[in-house]
Amino acid sequence: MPILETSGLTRMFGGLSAVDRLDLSVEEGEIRGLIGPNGSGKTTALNLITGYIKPTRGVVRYQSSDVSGEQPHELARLGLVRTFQITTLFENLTVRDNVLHGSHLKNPTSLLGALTRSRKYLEQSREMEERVRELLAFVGLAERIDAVARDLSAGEHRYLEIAIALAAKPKMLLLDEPATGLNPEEAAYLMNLIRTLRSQGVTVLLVEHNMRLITNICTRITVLNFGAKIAEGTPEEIVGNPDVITAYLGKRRGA
Amino acid sequence: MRLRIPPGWWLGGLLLLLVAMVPLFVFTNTYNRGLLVLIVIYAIAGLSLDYIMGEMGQFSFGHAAFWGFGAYVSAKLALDLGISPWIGFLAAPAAAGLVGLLIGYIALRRTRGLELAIVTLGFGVLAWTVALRWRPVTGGPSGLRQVPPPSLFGWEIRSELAYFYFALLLLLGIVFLLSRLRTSRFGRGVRSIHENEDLAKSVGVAATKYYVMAFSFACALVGFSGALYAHHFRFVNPNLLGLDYMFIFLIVVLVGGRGTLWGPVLGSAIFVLVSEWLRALQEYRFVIFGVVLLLVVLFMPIGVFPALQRAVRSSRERRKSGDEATAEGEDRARAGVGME
Repeated sequence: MPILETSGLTRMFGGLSAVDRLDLSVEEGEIRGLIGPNGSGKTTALNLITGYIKPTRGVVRYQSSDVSGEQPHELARLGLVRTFQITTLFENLTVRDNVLHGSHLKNPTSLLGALTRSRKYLEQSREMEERVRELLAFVGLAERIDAVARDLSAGEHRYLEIAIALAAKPKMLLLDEPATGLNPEEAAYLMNLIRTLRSQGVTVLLVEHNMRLITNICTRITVLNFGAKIAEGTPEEIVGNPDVITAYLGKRRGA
Repeated sequence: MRLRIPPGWWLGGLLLLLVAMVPLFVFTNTYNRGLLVLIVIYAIAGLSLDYIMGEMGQFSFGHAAFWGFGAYVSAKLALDLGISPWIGFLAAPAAAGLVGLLIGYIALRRTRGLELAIVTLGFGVLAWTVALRWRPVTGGPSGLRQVPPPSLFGWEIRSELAYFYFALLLLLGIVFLLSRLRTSRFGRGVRSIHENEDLAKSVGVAATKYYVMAFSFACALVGFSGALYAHHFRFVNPNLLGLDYMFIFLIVVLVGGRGTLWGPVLGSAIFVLVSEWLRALQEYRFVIFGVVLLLVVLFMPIGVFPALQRAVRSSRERRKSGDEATAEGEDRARAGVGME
């Protein structure tokens, strides 16, 4: 039973289709890679799935219900959470507050409780603080808890983004090129995090430009070119697929 | 349990205590004490505008229209229906909040930033025109007079001093409420949209809904301030909805310091006292305020209150590091280091 399914998903910009009749089906518990050369429509596909832009045609189904055209925050409520290609944090807040603000859906406090600082509110705040610490420990940022987000390194930025997304307790996490700007060690660390997430039952859709990175970790890979799906399969199948090689490297002359 | 008081509260509380003592010694005549009431009323209006500017990171050019609207609602209820000003103090924010909800719903679904400022400007001008032209209801250009003051157990809160302390108490309550609202789920939601709307949505914050609610809340608060004005100065007229007051509130927020709670309180005191000092200059007052505003934005863009806060903090740190240096020196002296 697929957790996420798109059929005939299309988005036109002017006369150009950025995503062209995309059929995608992601099973629960998968790490699905979505790859393709620059401009192949990966980010647009992700924006369509998460409600940041509306599809021209086609349907997105999440947990068997039609969610096409739903608002991003509605989808987050259903457990469909994304990160962004360009690192996106609450720049002016501390690392702690970033995760705390990311915990919106898991914040049980009432308005009256907050205004009166009731015992229950204080108790709930302590529990939230505890969870923030756990999440930061998980992504390896425990020691940076009081740092202001904009002072973090590129790698720490990415880890914090993941912690913010996890604070919303996703069932399915869509990551848009999370390894961009990371050195090989940081990228490896990140991929390990993603693997751990999967073992905790989170389904992952990983948009990535770097093919080498993705073949290690994904269960299946979908390849886009010019907005359309050109291949799908296990990493081994994809690496050997001549269409994929052509899309990435161009056609060899005289071949 | 240890009671932790944030540093801003020390500074702000001290400031307020000073202000509270002032009328007894400095502001000795009725006229001057009226200025104190004005400081408190503008401070509440400034706090509400700062909820839009500091917390939401947006701007409304129609904020004075909600202020004037609140004033009219409470005045009208008291004059036409004989309803107690106490009810008016509740009805005015309710009505302003409701209209704010409507305007916010129309404007915030589509616009942010500059566009929102323009949409609210349009609304403000419209509201002002209605107040001016709808004579049977609003009294036209001359407005409504003889608005009654509130009374407590048969005693009218009429004297400047009594009204000042009454309003001051409310101001304190509002600052307290606002400071706690910040750490509520709602407050954090609003802050996260201000910081990064796309990210806020991705973690489930219903951005537009929250912004509409926050906008409506700010309108309710300024409507309350307007009602306080109406029942003290005992008249309302269309100017209350106009751009003059809009600029006053803007000066209060910008000079005091955006997003700081106590900033607008300080900004209001500065504005009222300086404008009183410049009263002889009549029409040129706003020229000078224009220049002051320009200077503040250029040279103290964070506003006076945060600048003071920073100065206090850095002098404290300097003193602390000075102490450490001395202590270190003594240690070294005791150990006989560097004394060959």
